[in-house]
Amino acid sequence: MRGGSWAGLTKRDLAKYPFLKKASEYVSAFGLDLRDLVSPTLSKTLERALQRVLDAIRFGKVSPRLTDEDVELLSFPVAVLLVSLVGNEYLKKRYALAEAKRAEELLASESPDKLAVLATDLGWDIRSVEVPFGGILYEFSLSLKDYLRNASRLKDKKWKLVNRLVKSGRVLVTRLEVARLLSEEISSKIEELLAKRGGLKDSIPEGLLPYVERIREAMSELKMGEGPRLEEVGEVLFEAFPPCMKAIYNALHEKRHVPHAGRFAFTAFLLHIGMGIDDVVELFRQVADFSEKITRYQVEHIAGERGGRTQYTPPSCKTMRSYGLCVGADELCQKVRHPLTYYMRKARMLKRRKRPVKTAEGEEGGQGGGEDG
Amino acid sequence: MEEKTAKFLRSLYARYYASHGPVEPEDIGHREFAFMTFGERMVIRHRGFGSYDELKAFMAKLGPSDAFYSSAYFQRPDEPDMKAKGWMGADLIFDIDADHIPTSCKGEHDIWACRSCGHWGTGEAPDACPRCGSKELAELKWICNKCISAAKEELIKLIEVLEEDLGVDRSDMVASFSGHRGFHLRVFSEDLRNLGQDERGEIVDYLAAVGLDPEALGLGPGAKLGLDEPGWRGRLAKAFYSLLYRADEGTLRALGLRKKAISALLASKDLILDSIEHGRPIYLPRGVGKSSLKKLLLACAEEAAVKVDPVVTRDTHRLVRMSGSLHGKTGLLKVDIPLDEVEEFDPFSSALAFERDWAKVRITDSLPVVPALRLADEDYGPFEPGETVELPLQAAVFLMCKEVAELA
Ligand code: SF4
Ligand SMILES: [Zn+2]
Ligand SMILES: [Zn+2]
Repeated sequence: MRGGSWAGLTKRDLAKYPFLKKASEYVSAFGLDLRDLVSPTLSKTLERALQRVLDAIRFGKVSPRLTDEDVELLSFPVAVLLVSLVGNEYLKKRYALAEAKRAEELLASESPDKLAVLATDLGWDIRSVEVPFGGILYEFSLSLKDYLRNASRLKDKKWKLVNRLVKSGRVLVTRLEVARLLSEEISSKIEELLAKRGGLKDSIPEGLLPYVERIREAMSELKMGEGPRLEEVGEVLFEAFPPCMKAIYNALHEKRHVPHAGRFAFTAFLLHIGMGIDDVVELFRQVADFSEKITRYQVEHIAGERGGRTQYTPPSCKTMRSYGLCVGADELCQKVRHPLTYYMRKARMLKRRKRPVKTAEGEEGGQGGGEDG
Repeated sequence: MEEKTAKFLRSLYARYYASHGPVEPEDIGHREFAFMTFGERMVIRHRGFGSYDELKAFMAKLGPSDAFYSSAYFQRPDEPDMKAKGWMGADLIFDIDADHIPTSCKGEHDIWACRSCGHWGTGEAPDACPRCGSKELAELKWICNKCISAAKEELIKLIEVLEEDLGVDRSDMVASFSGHRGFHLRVFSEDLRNLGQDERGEIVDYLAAVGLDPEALGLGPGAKLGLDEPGWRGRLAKAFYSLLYRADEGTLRALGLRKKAISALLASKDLILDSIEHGRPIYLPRGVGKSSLKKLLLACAEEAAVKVDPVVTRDTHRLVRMSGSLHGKTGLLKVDIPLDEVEEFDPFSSALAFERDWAKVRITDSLPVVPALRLADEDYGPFEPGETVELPLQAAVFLMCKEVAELA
């Protein structure tokens, strides 16, 4: 099978895009044994796998290294294995994204034909077209569902379906847009791959453990996976709360019913923006008539001081929406995907505004702008 | 609603289901069912049925005021916990509600009255009584041909955009009258079944032209624009064309254009129309710049947008009223309409369930007057509070469901 071509894909293609279906067929046929510690291919593969993960941690992007195609190809499933063994959710996301960025860079210089082959391998319904429009050449049309699955995760208004050329369920896209959308597909494919391996506990080959350790060290050096840096914000600013959290706070305050998911989200949010456990418990005590004992237990659990010892992160906007907890859609909401990001950005904005305006000259409407001493 | 009335309606609906049953939902074994009842307004949820006969028997026994099934397919539809149900996908659904479309008739037939001081008015109810400040208001939302026509127009637009732009097969669409003030459209397509909330949201935004940005569509001064272009470019071209075609000073002023731009546009109307007809760069006279063009295009988008309820379509766990079931607020049927008969569909003759029999009802005194009603080409009312009337069953049921009459 080696040296051949797989439905328009060369071995080099598989090395470039090791997450393809065809690539995993190649890997199984290769039959690399993770216990065969004297094999030179294995040690090179392990080194490269480690580097992939470290690149992801340090730079957020894996750089391609195509000198040894076998190693480049084989090291991908091994890297996936390493990341699952570390078992940190944040790392999984970051790694998937870093691999997707690597792929996007390579994709951007592929020929249209090759892009179509790659997209098809990933399950897309894509067709070659040639439609010039307003000075832009559209070289592909994509099925509605493939377009939406990937573009709905992108924020820029140019990706909104309403701003696209759509006809009979086909969306026109340019070559670079295909590369961008493919990289979305790739990052979710890799996340899926990592989730599947998540359950794996038994029979970790001994030889892998030192690599897992190296990854853990690199993470702790960078304080990764500990959530956003709270020091940036300092004290808790209620004004900076996203609409969803304000709504939950108000509901608690008015003694209205707040579903469990809402209380969870709110608690995790407060802990993450730097409120201490005691303060959170006190806040709940003030606004709602919960039993202090139960509240404390729950808060401590979410803070990671009980039970699983994992500190819970508040849910993303997407999850909030699916629980019906997002009341949002103010302007900043449009730009963020996580209530924490909303808070960070808003807090920064507010702080900036509080600083006295020093450059009065040329400021629009200078009269009302500054703060009078 | 008095218990006597509720009991009457329960048994009437039950008898209807015993003889007719609802339309059999597609893939019945994977749907969740939910029901509401007259009187105590009990809600029954998380029901699953193995067969149509089982469902029909259940409804014939309960006589529910309203019957729903899930747009979603579940592995275990009768599990009460959402997570345990095992979501397998959901039909794409659209809801067009006359309530959300401004029509002049609402000011004529919608009525509210204050329960404490009796003050009343027409149109949409205020938050509180303007005379005494009480928030206890009785509200009556009526339907007439005007509201129905306005909603119908949106339905026709919806079908067109789904087919032409989004490539939805006509044979995958089922349109229905909701039994009250609107229409539903369900899309049964394997391809679209697995769309998530955000993806469905993008479809709604597309229909409603939310987030439409003329510049992102390449439409600035000097851009070419032709009538048969794909997507919103073509829709804007058509809307722009017809807006300009019938534009006068008043309509353009209402869009917030300046005097100079208005007279320039009107003076070169023909040249502009001509340029669109031939797909040439849009001819823009002096005095009409980037911002005027944007105003015009956004007004066109607003005009051409399809007014669907965004919340309904986004939701991947929605309950949908069952076709062939009776509406608890009107006694009218939810009926499916063949796509090419939407235009002439008349709910006041095609959604009737009770043809024979009469009933005697007493008009309640919560409102100063109950507006007239037209059913199967007959007019009934208007009615006075306290009046007792004998009416054909369908009309009597309508008034009782609207809670403006009790069984006499
Ligand atoms: S978008 Fe995010 S931040 Fe904004 S309200 Fe919704 S969940 Fe909160
Ligand atoms: Zn009053
Ligand atoms: Zn009306």
